[in-house]
Amino acid sequence: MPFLSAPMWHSNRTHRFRLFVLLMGLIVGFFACPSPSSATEPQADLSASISRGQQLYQRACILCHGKAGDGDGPDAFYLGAYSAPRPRAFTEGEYKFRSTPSGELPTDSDLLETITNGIPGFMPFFSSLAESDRWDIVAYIKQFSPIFQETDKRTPIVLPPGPLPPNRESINRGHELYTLLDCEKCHSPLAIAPNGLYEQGELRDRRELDILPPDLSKPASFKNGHRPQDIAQSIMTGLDGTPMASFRETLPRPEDIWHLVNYVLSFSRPQ
Amino acid sequence: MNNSRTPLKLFKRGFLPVGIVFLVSLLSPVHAENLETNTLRGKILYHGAIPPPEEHIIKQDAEVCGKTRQIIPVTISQDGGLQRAVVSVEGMNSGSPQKRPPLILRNDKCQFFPDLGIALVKQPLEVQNLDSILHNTHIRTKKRAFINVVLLPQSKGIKKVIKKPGPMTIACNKHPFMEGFIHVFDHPYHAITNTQGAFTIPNLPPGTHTLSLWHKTLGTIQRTVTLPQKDGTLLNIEFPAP
Amino acid sequence: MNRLRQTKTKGILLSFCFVLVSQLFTTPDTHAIPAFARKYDVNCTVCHTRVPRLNRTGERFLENGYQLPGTEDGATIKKSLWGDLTLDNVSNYLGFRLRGNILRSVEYARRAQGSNIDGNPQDRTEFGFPEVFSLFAAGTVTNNVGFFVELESNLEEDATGIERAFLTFNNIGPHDWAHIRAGKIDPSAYSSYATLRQQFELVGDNSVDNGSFMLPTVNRIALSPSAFASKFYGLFDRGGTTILPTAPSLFHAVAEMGIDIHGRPFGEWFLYQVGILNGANEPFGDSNNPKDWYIMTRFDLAQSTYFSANLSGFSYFGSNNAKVSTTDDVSWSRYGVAANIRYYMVDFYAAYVVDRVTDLPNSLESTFDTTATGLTLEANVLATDRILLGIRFDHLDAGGLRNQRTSNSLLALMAKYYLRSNIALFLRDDINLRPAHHGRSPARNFRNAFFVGADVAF
Repeated sequence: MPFLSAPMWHSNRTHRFRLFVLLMGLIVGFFACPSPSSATEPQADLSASISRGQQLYQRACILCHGKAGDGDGPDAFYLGAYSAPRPRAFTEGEYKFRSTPSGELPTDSDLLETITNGIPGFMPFFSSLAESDRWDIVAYIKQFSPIFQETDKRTPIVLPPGPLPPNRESINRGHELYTLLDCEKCHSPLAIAPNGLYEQGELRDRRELDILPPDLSKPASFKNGHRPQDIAQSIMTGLDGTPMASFRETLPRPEDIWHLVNYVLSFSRPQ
Repeated sequence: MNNSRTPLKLFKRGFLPVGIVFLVSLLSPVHAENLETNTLRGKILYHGAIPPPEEHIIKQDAEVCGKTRQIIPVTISQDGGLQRAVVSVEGMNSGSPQKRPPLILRNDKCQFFPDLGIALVKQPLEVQNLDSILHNTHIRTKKRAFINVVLLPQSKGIKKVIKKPGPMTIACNKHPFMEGFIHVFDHPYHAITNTQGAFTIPNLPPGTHTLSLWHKTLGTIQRTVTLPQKDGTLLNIEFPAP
Repeated sequence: MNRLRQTKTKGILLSFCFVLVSQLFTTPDTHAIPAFARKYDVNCTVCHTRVPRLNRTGERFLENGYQLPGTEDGATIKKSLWGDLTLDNVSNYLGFRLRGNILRSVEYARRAQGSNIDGNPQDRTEFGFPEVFSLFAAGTVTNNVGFFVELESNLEEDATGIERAFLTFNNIGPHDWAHIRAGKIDPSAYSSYATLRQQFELVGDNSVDNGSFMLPTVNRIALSPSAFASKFYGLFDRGGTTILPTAPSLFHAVAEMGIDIHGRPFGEWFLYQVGILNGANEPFGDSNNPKDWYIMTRFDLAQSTYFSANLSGFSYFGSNNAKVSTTDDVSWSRYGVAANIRYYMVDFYAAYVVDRVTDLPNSLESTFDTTATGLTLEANVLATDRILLGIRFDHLDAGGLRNQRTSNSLLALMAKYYLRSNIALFLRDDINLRPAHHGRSPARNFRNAFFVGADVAF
């Protein structure tokens, strides 16, 4: 009964680990205060930030995401035309790339990360903009949906300690999980079946557009990133608005996520 | 100075506050509701064209789900009563709803139970899987995902508290023929029509109300109704063809 | 009629083969694409509606000197430092494009060379791929300094040379206020309907040069937009070479030596452009002292609901930039408006252009028409993710020598099939809407042309 082990999530071990991370974070944060890369969200004058963000948005983002943030800018249609993805509609408050559980809003850092790294194939990276400019854009795009104001807390999920080394044992366990969790139904390990067991048109996103599961043998095309922690996050949180569900409560054991990640990455590694 | 306890003073000290409270209580709408309510009884009728049932041939997991699945778009009784429509009163907000037991949503033989449910704001929703196969349960509001989770065979207990009122759809991406609906309200004035198309909404203050009528195939319409102080007749509401 | 039926049958057969072959190559789209897409790790469709046409992001990227809209990322993106040099990976600025008609079938009445006797209608079918090969090197040298070099080899005409080559200096002053281009530039690059990046491949004249200040023998009409064309019969450049009436020129020249400045100082809705050029077909060693100059303004409307529209107007003032059968200079100017509307899958273009020749010698006043106009309307529809259908109408009200000039009206139909976003196969058919004559002018000799071709960018 794999379900019985689900409460392991809240086991003492995890708690202790969280406490440890928190403590270490405090210590590191204390000594590294001037570091600009710390994940603290700036508390600067919000309205000034929003208006600067608006100016940048209207230059850099509006052509795809639209004037009102509906994801319907002049270039939005031709991007995918008749298939997913289309640009994000900020007005709807639904985001694919989050560190938070399924159905929740992303954290500000999640939004910043997408602006900074872009989305392979579909959104260029804006890492050339100053970090403060990118925070301003984050502040502005949050204005499009009232959900950000209504939601008081956006808590990221906590990944179990990892990643684990991609040894044979781990990959084998990942393969087991891959079968157990029906991953191959969509993500056929072979490039010959891009839709897995589905026919073209059966998998659709929230706009009823055809959506193609990523080719797992090409990690560079993973839209949410291809570092082990990025892949772990995609599996754990799901990609809202797509058929990709959250497996956070489904995995028999917390550390299984890293075995699954190792198996996914093994598709692109020479055997 | 005991002599000075004149009737006027007595009135001032004792009766005035009582009187004010009494007057205020008359004016207070909350009390008025408690004092005077009536029951809205009605019947939803549909005489439009009835689309043929959708036949789905099941390719995956047919041994659990069955080989075919029929989805019936509209069901009416002999006299045209529309079954399984959701009736609710608009503009009502009863403040903080009480704590309620979770609404259980089961995946059973590749069907959602209930496939038309009603929940209240702040009520937890618990998704369960009784089947021997893997399911995912993808619940969405109009714009956003509420939750999209995967359930292992014979597992139960993924819980999430519902925060906002409004209609939600339930789907399973693995089995596209599975469908379900949940309506979330922040007040008790709602009902699902029965096999005869009839509904009852008790404890409703008399007066003019806007009713919202929803049906999965026919859509949503609004109708203004007037509820008398007492009794009242059975309301007949015609659902127009889409 | 029999001839028409033959052509039709052939067309249907060819289309069938085309679809069959294209199905063999069908592979799911990923991103495997030219320089800028490689650099930014995105699909072609981030900057193109469908290659080679630019979408709004692509237009802004071009305006901003090959930097993402709203950024000045020239020095930082995907570059490595080597001493005080920033170096770009070669694949991030090098691209090439190979295009041509694999097969063309042109039906026209051919005139025997150097003869005035009309020939019989001919039906010429031939293989021609590849016709044009272009090598691009483009990118940024550092922040706000960009470069562009296009080497083009026209294999049919056996000519190789620099098509365009220029430097850009961007974001002079506040962001997006002024960008300068200097070199061999295409003046219409930022207008609503630019000369380059046509979805219908330009098909050139088939002409034989008969010597300086002599009219050439033209057997085949150029199937390029009439609005951009030279429009005059009997006009020569300062070197004495005929300017073919259908060749793009002045504001719509493919490339001219000059310098121009453009920007959006008042926000996204308005673009200005001012430029100065040597003149029409003026190479190095300019013989023309007075320069040509032009001004263009463009208004961009709407940024939502999958809709965008823009309108541009321009004036091009020529000065002593051409000759008319004698060695006397004339001044050839051009004025016009252009518009582009996009709504969901529909991409519509229009251009109306008026050309005027002034300073005409008195002796030619009665024989030379000094005004000519051209109208081009084009609509492209993206029918599926892979299939682009197009239609274009061209009307040329020609000017120049009254006994030579011939107006024409053409209709072009096109279907493009994108194997990937950078590989397209196309079918194109051009129809002469005017009654066909066995006359002297190719504008009337021409009846129908059918092409099957490919356009590949890497």
